[in-house]
Amino acid sequence: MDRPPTGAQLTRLLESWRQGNSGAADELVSLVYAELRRMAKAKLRDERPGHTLQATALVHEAWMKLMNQHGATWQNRAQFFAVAAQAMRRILVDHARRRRAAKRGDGTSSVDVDALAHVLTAPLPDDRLLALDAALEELAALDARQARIVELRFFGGLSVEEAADVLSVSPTTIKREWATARAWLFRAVQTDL
Amino acid sequence: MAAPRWARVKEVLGTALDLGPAARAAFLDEACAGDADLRMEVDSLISAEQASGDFIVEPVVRAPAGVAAERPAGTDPDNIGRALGPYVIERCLGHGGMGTVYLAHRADREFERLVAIKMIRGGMDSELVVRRFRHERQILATLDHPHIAALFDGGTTPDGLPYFVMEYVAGTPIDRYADERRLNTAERVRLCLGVIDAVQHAHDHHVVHRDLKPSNVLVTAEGHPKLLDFGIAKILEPGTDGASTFTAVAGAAMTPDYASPEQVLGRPVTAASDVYALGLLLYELLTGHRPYRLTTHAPEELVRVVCEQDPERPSDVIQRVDTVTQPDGTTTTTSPATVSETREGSPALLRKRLHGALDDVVLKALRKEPEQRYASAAALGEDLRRYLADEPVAAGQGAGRYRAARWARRHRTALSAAALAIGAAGLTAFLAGAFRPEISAVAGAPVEASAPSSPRPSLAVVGFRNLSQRPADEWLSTALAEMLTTELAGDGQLRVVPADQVARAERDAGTDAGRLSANLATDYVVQGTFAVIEGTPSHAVRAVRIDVRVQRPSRDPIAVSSVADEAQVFSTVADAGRQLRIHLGLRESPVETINGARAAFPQSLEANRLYAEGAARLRRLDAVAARDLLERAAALEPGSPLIQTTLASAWTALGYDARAEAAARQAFETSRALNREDRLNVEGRLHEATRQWPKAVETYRTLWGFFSDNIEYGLRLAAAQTSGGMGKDALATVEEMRRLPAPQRADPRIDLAEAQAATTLSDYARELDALRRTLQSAEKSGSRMLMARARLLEGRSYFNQGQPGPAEKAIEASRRLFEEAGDRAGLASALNSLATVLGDQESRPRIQRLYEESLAISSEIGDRRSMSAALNNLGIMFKDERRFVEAMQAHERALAIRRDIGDRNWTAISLSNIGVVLFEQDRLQDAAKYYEESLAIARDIGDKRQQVRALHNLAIVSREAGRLAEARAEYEESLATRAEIGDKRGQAIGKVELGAVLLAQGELERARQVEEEAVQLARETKLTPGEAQAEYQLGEIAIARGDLAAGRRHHARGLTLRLEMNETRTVLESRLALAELALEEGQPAEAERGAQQVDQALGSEPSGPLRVQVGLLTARAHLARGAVEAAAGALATARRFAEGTERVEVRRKLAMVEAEYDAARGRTQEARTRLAALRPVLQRAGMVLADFERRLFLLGLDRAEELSTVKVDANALARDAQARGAGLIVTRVQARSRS
Repeated sequence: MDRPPTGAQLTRLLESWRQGNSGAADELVSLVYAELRRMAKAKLRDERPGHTLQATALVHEAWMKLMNQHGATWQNRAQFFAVAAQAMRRILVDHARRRRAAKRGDGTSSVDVDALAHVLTAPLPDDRLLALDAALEELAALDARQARIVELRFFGGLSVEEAADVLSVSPTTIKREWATARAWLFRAVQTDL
Repeated sequence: MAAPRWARVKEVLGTALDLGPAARAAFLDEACAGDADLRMEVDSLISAEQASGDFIVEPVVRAPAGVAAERPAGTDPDNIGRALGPYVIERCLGHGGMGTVYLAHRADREFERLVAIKMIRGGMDSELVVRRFRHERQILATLDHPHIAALFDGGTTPDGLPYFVMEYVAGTPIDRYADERRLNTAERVRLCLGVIDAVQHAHDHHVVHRDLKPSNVLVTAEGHPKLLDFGIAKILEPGTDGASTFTAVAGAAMTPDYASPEQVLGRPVTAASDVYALGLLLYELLTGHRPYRLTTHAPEELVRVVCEQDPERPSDVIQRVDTVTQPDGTTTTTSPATVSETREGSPALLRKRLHGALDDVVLKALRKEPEQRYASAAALGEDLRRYLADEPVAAGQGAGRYRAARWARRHRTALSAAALAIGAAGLTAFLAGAFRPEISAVAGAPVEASAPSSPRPSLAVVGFRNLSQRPADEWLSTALAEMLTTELAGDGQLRVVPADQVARAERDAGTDAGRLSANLATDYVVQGTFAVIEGTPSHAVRAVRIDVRVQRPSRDPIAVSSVADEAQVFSTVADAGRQLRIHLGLRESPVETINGARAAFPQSLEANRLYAEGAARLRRLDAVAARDLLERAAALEPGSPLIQTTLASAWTALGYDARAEAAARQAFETSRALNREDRLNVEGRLHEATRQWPKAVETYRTLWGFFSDNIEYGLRLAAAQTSGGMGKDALATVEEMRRLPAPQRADPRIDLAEAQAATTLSDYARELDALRRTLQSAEKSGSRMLMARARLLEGRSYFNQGQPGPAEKAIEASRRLFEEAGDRAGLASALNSLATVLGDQESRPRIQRLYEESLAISSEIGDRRSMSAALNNLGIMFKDERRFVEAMQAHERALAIRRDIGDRNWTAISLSNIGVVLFEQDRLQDAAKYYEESLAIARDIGDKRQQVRALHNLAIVSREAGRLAEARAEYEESLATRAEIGDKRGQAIGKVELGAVLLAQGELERARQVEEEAVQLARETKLTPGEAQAEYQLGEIAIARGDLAAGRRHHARGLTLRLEMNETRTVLESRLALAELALEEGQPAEAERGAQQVDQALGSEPSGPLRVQVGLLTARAHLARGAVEAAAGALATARRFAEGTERVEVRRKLAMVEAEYDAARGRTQEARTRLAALRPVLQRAGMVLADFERRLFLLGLDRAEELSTVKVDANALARDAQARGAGLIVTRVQARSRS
């Protein structure tokens, strides 16, 4: 889908996602991704060769642009950030995978996304990011809410209070869950690397 | 770790982390007392925490402060206490799709009335909304019904937001209400009756709700249902300015999940839309499921799902198990257990209640076409009342007809809607590789076949017998069998043997059910009969009845039958398939999957008939008839992937590659509506047709990865790998197939695949072994065709190993088998191979006759590729006989066919072969042109084997043309590639030639090494001609080194080998070499005799390097004895034969002998001139050894003329020669110095 979505479509997706349709989250993420590609291409054209773009900044900008410019409305900040965090995570992980695959010489799909993957700077080394992602998946099987918290805080940048607001629990709970999840993940990642 | 365990760990850990070290220890002692595991786990995590440092402390991005949080209208807590008109807001009741709802009371307490105020979210044209409200208000005010929540007032807030004041209803949404109280089916129906009455009342007053859904139907504590938001949808709907239905602002005045087909398509909304919504409501209430699962709400998906897909029957859908993930990460599961728990208590009972009448009622309300639903809400209510009273419902009549009619129409619209769905997230994600298993990046690394955790039950449909015995109806036999196969295979719960395979088994094992079962070895065998029932006066249309029987081991067979009008015959299959599923205890398949499977078949009856007949013919190996029928079918329905795929197979069988490719491509283009497996299948065949082996490999690897219990995919994968030169990978796939459960792993085709892979790796031992196994198992299952094929390969293998006797026997056997099986194409192939094998032994005329017979058969069956193969071999035969004109004719015919059918692989081969013919005629440059073209094509299509052959041939040309450095480079390149693809034989051949070049370049030691290697490889791969040639070269090398005895030994050995092989030309080469050796040894008489012998054997051959060589040798022999006159004659002969040759070696030898002759005649100056002219040629060509000979000769001339510069030249020459190990030259120099 390469046409920018309308505000109504976005709203509809957000609503649908709120009602529990996981596919809507997928679609939202891919919309963000599409927006990201558009923006990155434009930026790449303007900048001098060899210039790199910060992946996280781009994802965020893409999300913001999507939400603001197209006049979508949403229920609350919680929803906004929840999806943004997910989008950030998926996109970063996807780029890391492509870079790793390119190193190995696997076949890849579209060219411009690959070019993107190489031009975007990642916040973490690819191996670590992928290890973290895998560990997070494992954690999610064990404790869905903890994984969510990590996603919101690490990939979404939410503060303890904001996360508490999103998940409708107390900040104390968030702090606790966050601490335990961190310990668990650290251990999981250590054994991987 | 299990969840409860983790909860405990978490709890302890959380507390522990909050404590200081001392307190922590104490706490842990207590909390983990008696649970050492718990303590260990917590300790481990605490250590992790301590070591974690700043692990993920810093988020990847800062959430920007003050993000444009345009707060949705009405969530502002300031609204509480606010006054709106005469009302005061008390508290917030909740959020809805349109806005927020508050509880309010009248400020003046005039009426003790609580109201609900719905504040519509921002972003709407408030003025328009309010205007509309005023317009509608009159009508809405007349809606006075106990089950309708009244709408009192409406207005705008000071900040411009519209709001409505409604009757406050304290109640629960109807679905929750019913679940909480565990209402049974009848009670739920009764509850809905109230709702239906209300809706009818509104309709009577010309008000349509438009947005009926569970959240809009509240039930009070007393059990009264109340409908909310009546008419609001219309008020909020945007104007008729051409805007699409989806731009309903603020989260949809219409919720996509409950939209009716006409709403989705933007058509007028009527009372019938409310009936539809009631149907949805009923569906959900009664089953706990929604009829449609929308994942993305994208417009394309909505159209496809809501407007095309038929909902599952309520009594069936309750079997479904669904898991949904909530935004907070938790999951909810809906299963037969969970839904029946809040309804009837047991799934069986629930099903009983729903099955039949209620099914029909609900489905009637949910029909896609408004006019097909109940005429009114009241009519729906009446039918429900009938149900409650156990009376027959109106919906029951015509339900079957409706279904059948939709089945027939479904495809057309399904495919066009599918065209809309192109780009739908699911398919694109899939194609973009989201689901593709990781393909190993290392070539040759085996892919771990993931065996399914529990193997799927397997089933074979062995055909439908025609009870009416009318030949015109015979096509139904194939068609019904295929449809049923597809139907049952559609969702992957069963492994169904494909129709081709069943046909093959039927061919081999006959139609005896017992033998067939054994052959196919499936869990179930399905047999059917069909009968066409003629029309009667009361029912004019013909009908078809099918009866299906399933044999089950040690259980009663299942019998299922179905009848339908002829035009809807396939609905009988659909029905039978469904019944079978139930009997076999399978899950009901999601409607999309079944639709995907059905979409594969042609729609019209006539197209189906043509397709079925065509497929049947093809399976009986009558490709020409098949092609004709299928082309007609394709003309009727160009968009059917199944027709195109089968047509592609027919074209391939006839050898028309280009047409096969076109058809396969067409199939691919139109395959989007198919399910994943079918689509991949079509794609795989496309790549096969276009010989894009790497892509074919990838596609089949995917299929094999997904369906690792389906041997067909493994076989196709191995075949693609073999064809693509990935022999090692193919063998790995063979191993994977051997790991399948019995009886699949005993399939003889696996052994055959192993044999074919082994051939490309020149592993003949393995090949023969595998073929023997193939024969054994093929014999057991009585597969004549397979046996024939295996015998043919066996014969070829023996031939390649130089055992023509066994080869002939095997191929004869295959010929008989092919004839018996009626496989004309196989027969032509066998004749072709037989002729090749007999080549050296039988008389030429007989061989020629065999080829021509093969050619005739191929021509008759229209198999152009086989024709070209016979022509190719004829061409080679003619070339060997030096009948160059006929050779060229044959090759050019073959080339023309191959270009015509678009077979680039064989085109390259033909070009190469023509080049060889030209080469043999000494037309080096022309030959090179053909080789170049062959190479280019081979590179283009990625055929490594052909690349090396072309390179090798080019190298030969380079060498003969005197470009030694180039030749060496080309040989080395082709050798490298040969090593890469594991072609040992090719390496032997390449090394032999390389050694010859190295010798000419004066690198004697290296040349010797390489030739020794060649001998080894040739012995290993039983390549006797190669071994002989290597010995020949070793002989030459030894002579150059000055070890004449060794030279004789090697040449003698070469001669022996060649005599053993009955070769004619090469024997002469060896004899000539020995004769030349005699001259070096100072035996000119013997040399002359040898030359004469060869001369006689050559007979009346026109020309060629051998003739020249003979002449030169004779001349030299004469000169050595001083018979100058005789020498003149021989030299003249040689000169004549050498005229116009481009071979540098020949010209140089001639020049040398000419110089020798001149010197003998005392014409030293002419001799010198000749030698001087030779110098730049030799140096440019890099022919070091030849240059030594030249210098040696000059030395001799100098000595004869007693020039003083002799000594200097001699030393230099001796030094140079010594450095190269050219002992013979050194010896000769010393000899001349002394004398």
